[in-house]
Amino acid sequence: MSGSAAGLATEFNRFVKQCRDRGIDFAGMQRAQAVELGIGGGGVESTSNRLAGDEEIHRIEGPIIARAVPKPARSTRLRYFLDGAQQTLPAGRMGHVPIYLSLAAAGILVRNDDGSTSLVRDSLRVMTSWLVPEGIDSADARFVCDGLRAIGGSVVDPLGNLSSDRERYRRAASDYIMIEQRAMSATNQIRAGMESALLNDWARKHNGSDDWIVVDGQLQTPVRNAVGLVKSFTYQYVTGAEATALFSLPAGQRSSAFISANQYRERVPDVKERTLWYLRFHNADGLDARHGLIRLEAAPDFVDSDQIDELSGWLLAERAPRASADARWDSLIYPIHLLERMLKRRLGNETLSWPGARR
Amino acid sequence: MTTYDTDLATESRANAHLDHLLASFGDFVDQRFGPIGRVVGSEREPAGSHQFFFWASDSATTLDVGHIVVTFSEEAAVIGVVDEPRRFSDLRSFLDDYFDRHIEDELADEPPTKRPEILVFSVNVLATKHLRDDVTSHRPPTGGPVYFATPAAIDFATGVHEFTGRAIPALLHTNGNPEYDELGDPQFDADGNVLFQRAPIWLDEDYLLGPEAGHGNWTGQSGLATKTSHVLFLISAIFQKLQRPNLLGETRKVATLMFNVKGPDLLWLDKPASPAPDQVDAYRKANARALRDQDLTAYAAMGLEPRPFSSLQIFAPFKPGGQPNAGHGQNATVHLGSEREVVRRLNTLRNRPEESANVHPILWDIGSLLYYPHKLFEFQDLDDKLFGLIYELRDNMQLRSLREIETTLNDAIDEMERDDRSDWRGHHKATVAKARNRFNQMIGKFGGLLTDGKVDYGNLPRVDQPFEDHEVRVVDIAHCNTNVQEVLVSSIIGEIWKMAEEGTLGVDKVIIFVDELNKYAQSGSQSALRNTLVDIAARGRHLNVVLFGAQQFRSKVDDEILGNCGTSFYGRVGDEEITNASYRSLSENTKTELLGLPKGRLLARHAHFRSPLFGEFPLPPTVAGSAGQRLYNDSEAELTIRPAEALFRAMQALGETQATLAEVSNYCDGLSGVEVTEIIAKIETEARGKGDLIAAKRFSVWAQTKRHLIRARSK
Repeated sequence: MSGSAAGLATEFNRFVKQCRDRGIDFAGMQRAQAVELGIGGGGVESTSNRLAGDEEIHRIEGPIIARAVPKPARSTRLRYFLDGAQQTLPAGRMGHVPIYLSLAAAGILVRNDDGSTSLVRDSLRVMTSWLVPEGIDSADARFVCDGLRAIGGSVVDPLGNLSSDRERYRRAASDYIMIEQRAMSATNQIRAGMESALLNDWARKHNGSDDWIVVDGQLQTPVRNAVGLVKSFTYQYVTGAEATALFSLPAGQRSSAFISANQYRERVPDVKERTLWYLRFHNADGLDARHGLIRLEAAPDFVDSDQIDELSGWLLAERAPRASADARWDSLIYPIHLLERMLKRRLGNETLSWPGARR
Repeated sequence: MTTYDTDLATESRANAHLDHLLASFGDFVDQRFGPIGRVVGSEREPAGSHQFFFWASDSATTLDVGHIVVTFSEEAAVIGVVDEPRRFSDLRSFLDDYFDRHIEDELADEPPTKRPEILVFSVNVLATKHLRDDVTSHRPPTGGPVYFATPAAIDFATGVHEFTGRAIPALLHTNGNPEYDELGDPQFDADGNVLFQRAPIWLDEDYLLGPEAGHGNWTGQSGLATKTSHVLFLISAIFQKLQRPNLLGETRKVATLMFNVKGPDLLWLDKPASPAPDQVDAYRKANARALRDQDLTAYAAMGLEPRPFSSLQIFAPFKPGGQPNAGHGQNATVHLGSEREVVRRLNTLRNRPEESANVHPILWDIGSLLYYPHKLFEFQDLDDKLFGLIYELRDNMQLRSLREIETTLNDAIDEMERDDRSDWRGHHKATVAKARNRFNQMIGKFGGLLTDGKVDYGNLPRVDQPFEDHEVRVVDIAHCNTNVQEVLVSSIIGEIWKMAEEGTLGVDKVIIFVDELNKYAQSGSQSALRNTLVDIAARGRHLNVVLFGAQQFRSKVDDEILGNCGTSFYGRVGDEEITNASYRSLSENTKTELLGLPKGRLLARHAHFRSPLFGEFPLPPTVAGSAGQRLYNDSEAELTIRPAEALFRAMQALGETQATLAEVSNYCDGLSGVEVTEIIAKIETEARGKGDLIAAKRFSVWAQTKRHLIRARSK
């Protein structure tokens, strides 16, 4: 980005004027709010069209039942926490083709021995992109893409995966609604890519270490000593009595663990198995059955019941302090909450002068 | 796709600008310690010209209320004093923490993650210095690093560069950054604790003693606020600094007048707080608090020597009933100079003959009191008719003694009865009779101060005579009744004020210290003394009289006096008092600090300060009054000076260099302490004002003293 955060809107306004001066039908949309309902990102599964039990699972601890979690013998080894945040902001439109400003941030928080926390040095990554259907390939589109690159950041085509089918691409490029959905997906992918890269970096640096990292959301890469924490879910792995046992989990207990082989089938081509289990943070009496219920994901070789108990115990200890400032406090752990605030603040700095970002 | 952590170009520009500011204001910033926080402004609490906020680094654990810090606006250094600290966390309510705790087994168990807390300080701006000397900046600081201030910054912030007079140290400010040695390494004490940077808080002579502004006021609880101790310290500092030439090569003569109102508080100001090596044991036995290392360091840091006052003169009336009375006869006169054993009859605790060469009597004839009819008579007695008669006696008949008045009034009544008239000189017989009755009670009402005859002081020093340089004149009224106290304070201050108006003070500046100012200049009251004090407060700085007032209740002191006071100090203040409007300009945090302020720490306001500053001061350079009493005056006192040595020292103080102690001791042999003390008083009286003659050897103190000694021995 060539200017300061405060200069982003100014430079974009100048760019809009240049487009108009050139006779391009370009309208600013900077006052529109972000495409995401929130800018949290992460920890939420994409909507699934699958029915409960569609996917086959391997029950490594027998039937899915409630299991008490003993107090861990060892003090917690959960030392690192990884999260990302994103924002997809409408920027303008060429005629009826919307263009978006995509911002994504990711970072790792470390917890010191005294309980204090700080960002891991050099782990904070921020990425700015312009989401433009570049494949339109008109003189005006080229001018717009060049101008946006000059402001700063890269240009990403949200319809890039349709580029092989020219006709389909042409139709999609004139579908305002489709481009909006693809724009948010593009930002999701950018953020997920940053998180994966960070996790891989961490794994490389901490190979052989006793420390664990908690990843907010699904564990996309099966890294040793990494656990994914999924706060809300759209697919139900079990049915019947097992589902009843799952949704009736008492506070402080976990479900039996199981391995799912194909949960990432649609999103990650090189599918890897994961060990999954559920953990109830807080009592759900009188509340939705998913209150305080989280799903944990670990590498497929993490199958020892004692180890799963220990990791569950460490996570239960994370219930305090409570992330009361977040509406999802019941399924959120405090270090992730802290990191998320840092990342959002960082995104906020980037878009300080962007009208839609302040709404 | 571009990945970046920050905008490097912008960051590098910002760093270059900060480097430029640090280079320009380098002597203001403790760069060795490094940044201690960052300026922060929000919609609710933005940074302003007079106040800003910063959050403190977790490592800045020495940072605290009252410390002075520096940060920057775009082109200026902003120096401020840390005021209110507030520690924030993201807890929305206390209940959140309570519910958190329901998960843990034990209250003492710590959760794995410490909830981040941020410590935010408000800072009151003291000064802003622009890069250009010709620009005055009031721009608030920008969000950037905050540093501890250096002594140079503190000097600038307290306006030292604008001083027109000498800089007088009032307090010592302690900051949270360390002192550094020549190599730039932090200094530590013997216990390994870091020595914090200390910098004097200076007052401008011209704004403390006039003519630009003037007067000082101390407020705080009795016994806790250390008001008198600080007054003594400051007067000592003034004496020392004013004897040094200013930029024009001028020195100033200065003296002070004080009223001792409590025990022996101000009676031993000529005795040192720190004992000589051979006096250490005696000081320890007397439980006398000697100066500590930290006090000596503080004196050195402020360029002062902890020395007692060299010229203390104590004045006191006689004990009730102890005053000499005149013999019979209308013109009977008390000749104070020939009275014997005066000191033991004076109403003062400093009455050991060997230590009383500088203790002098105050005795009045009624003539002096006739100028204070409100004090003489009860309010209901003092009608126009009695006023008229007093004027008759005082102004027309020039009567000066009670005996004269008694005789005159007796004769008047006899005359009216003999001639069967109802008036005498136009005054009704009843008025004359009432006056005679009331005058008969005067000796009792003003016990010890008033005598029945006229008073002749001879060569004795008088409380209202011109001052000598560095003279500390103490009027001891601690044990007098209220009538005597009030009339003495009123009359003496009135006389000094008259001398100031006539230009006969004898020195360049006289500091009048009045304790319990709320008693003598109560808000809303009307009295001659209150009017005089208001007048001094208003005009004194131009007439070289400065009022130092102290009181427990600032809110009860006349507004005009406080309004004219250019310098104020606040010690520990009680909670009933601090809610008054007199303290409304102080921040809530400062007020709360004042509620628990320890001894030896004061809040200072001065004409040059934009915000008040906290600071400490060392113990005063003189021994505490009660300890002095035990050391020098009690029957078991170990340090009471031998009469011959007292005489020897008195002669030395007068400039005598010929006599040796052995010679003086030989001449004193066989004389009592009282006799030698009387000779000291005589020789001091005779030598007064003859400094030039003594220096020119045209007046020999030793020769004159020998005459007195020989005469005394021959009796």
